[in-house]
Amino acid sequence: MQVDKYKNYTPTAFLKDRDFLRWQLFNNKEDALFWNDVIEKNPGLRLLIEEAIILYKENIRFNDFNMSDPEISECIISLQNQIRHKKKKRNSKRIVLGISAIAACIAIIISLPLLFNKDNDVQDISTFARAIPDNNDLYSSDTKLIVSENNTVILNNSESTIQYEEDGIKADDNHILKEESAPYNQLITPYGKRSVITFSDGTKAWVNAGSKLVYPAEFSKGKREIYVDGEIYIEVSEDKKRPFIIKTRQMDIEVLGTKFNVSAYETDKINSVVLLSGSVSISSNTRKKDIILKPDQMYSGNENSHTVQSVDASIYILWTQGLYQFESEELANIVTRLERYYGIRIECDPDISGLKCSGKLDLKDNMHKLLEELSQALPITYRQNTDGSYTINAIS
Amino acid sequence: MHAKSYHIMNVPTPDHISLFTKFKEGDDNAYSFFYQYYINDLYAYGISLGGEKEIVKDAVQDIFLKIYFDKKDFASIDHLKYFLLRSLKNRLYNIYKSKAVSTTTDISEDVLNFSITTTVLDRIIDEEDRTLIKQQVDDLLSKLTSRQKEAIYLRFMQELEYEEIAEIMDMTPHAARKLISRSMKRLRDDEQLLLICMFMLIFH
Repeated sequence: MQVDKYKNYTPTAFLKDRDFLRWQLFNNKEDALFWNDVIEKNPGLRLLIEEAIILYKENIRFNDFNMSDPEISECIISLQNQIRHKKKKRNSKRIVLGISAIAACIAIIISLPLLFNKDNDVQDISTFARAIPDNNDLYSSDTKLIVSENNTVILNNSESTIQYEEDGIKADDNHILKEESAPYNQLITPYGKRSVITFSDGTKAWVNAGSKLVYPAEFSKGKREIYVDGEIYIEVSEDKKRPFIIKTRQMDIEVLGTKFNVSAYETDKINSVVLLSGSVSISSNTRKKDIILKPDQMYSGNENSHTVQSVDASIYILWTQGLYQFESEELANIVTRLERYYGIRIECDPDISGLKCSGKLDLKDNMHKLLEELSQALPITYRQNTDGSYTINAIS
Repeated sequence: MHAKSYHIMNVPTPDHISLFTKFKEGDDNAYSFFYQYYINDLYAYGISLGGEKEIVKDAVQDIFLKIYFDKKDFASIDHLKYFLLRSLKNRLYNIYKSKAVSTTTDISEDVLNFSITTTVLDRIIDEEDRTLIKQQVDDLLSKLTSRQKEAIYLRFMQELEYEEIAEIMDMTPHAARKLISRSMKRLRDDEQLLLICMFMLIFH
């Protein structure tokens, strides 16, 4: 093993040297002696070798098999269920799993979703929501209220009303006893439908088409949390002791009592929050500082960037009254909204998807009439296909 | 040794120690923490042993489920880790053994066959170098038998004691020491042999 050859080595070159690798791998005496000798004879190599060691430690992994975070979440949920099941059998006390007490160690597990809630035996809402399998429910023809694993209430009104009251749940004409409910309920409002839900604390939310909500049948004492994939306009009833938190994939929105609109479809790149009154704070894992909105401000952003601008907030909640007003909005976005609202596919020629348009549409009209109105404002034509979907093209 | 926990693995911080005390008392937060702390190490070990993904996952669950209800008289955090690795191997061994029986094949000694997969991360090093580095490491490791690989993995990558390795690999501590020192000797000798060969070729 000649020492001279190392004179021109770069740190990366050491990583290709078997003697170096063996030393790093097994750190045995002979190798250590050899390398001490190399450094003694060529003191200039010391820094390079140190750099190579760092490079080795940071970049070489053995059997680096990891489960993804969703996989781990799934494991945790199933383990928790197994434990609960076994405990029930043993007829012992409630299980309390949590990690919030170990904030000091949070840095280690920061990439994982919160797993267990501290104050009760219910798992974290985001973890629960993300573990729900996608059953194509959004393409269903009915709104679904999932009260527990084996109790799904089918609602076939085009606009359903769900109300959580002290003793039970009212969903259109159905009455469900609270005892029948699992800790978390889900409201799935498919494309073409809407619903209005009043939670156990009196907070009321208008739910737009193509949205999934997860929420506890009864909020806990410390906080009120719901999970949203989609768009809602919400009027949060004031409770200073229990902040209301809306969780979405990209952001968390925390409020005390206020009115605002959230558009957070997981299929949309850009999410937005428009505030009507009060104040909200928006946080995201990818941002250090929270964003505070004032009334008539709109936050829009994705995981990497965001903007806050002044708007007329009332426009953004017109959909709750079946109206849709837009100002210099791209045709592609208008089309996406209509598709969701009506549950009808619209194909839009990419050449015209960037056309901008302002106006107001009455969503009680049928699709035919809406497209007719759009085609009067823009240089476009449309046709209905045999499967019921529409195609929009430029006027040739 | 893997990406997420490498840097924190071997030095228990005061937080870890106080969590460990709580864990032994049956605290659920602490249990939850150690579950997340070790789950990927266990998963990686199971896969390295040749287990299939879903079976390894189930086996890991079984162990943690058992630990939750059992008395937790572990002497130290390292002891807990050793215990988990050992239990996982036993569990996998049993699963695969019963599978082998049911499929009427011979139960060979090596129901589980340990392998080491090297990954060179692409942070600074360019692709060409990465391939070369991986090749060198793989060449080195390829000289070892499956058992030698496992012993080396447990010793140098999971940093277990010889006594613990011996338990996991079902041998005496003395034999474990010998297995590892022999593996290392083999790697060194091979290199020297290679040098001598080259030397002879040049001067022939």
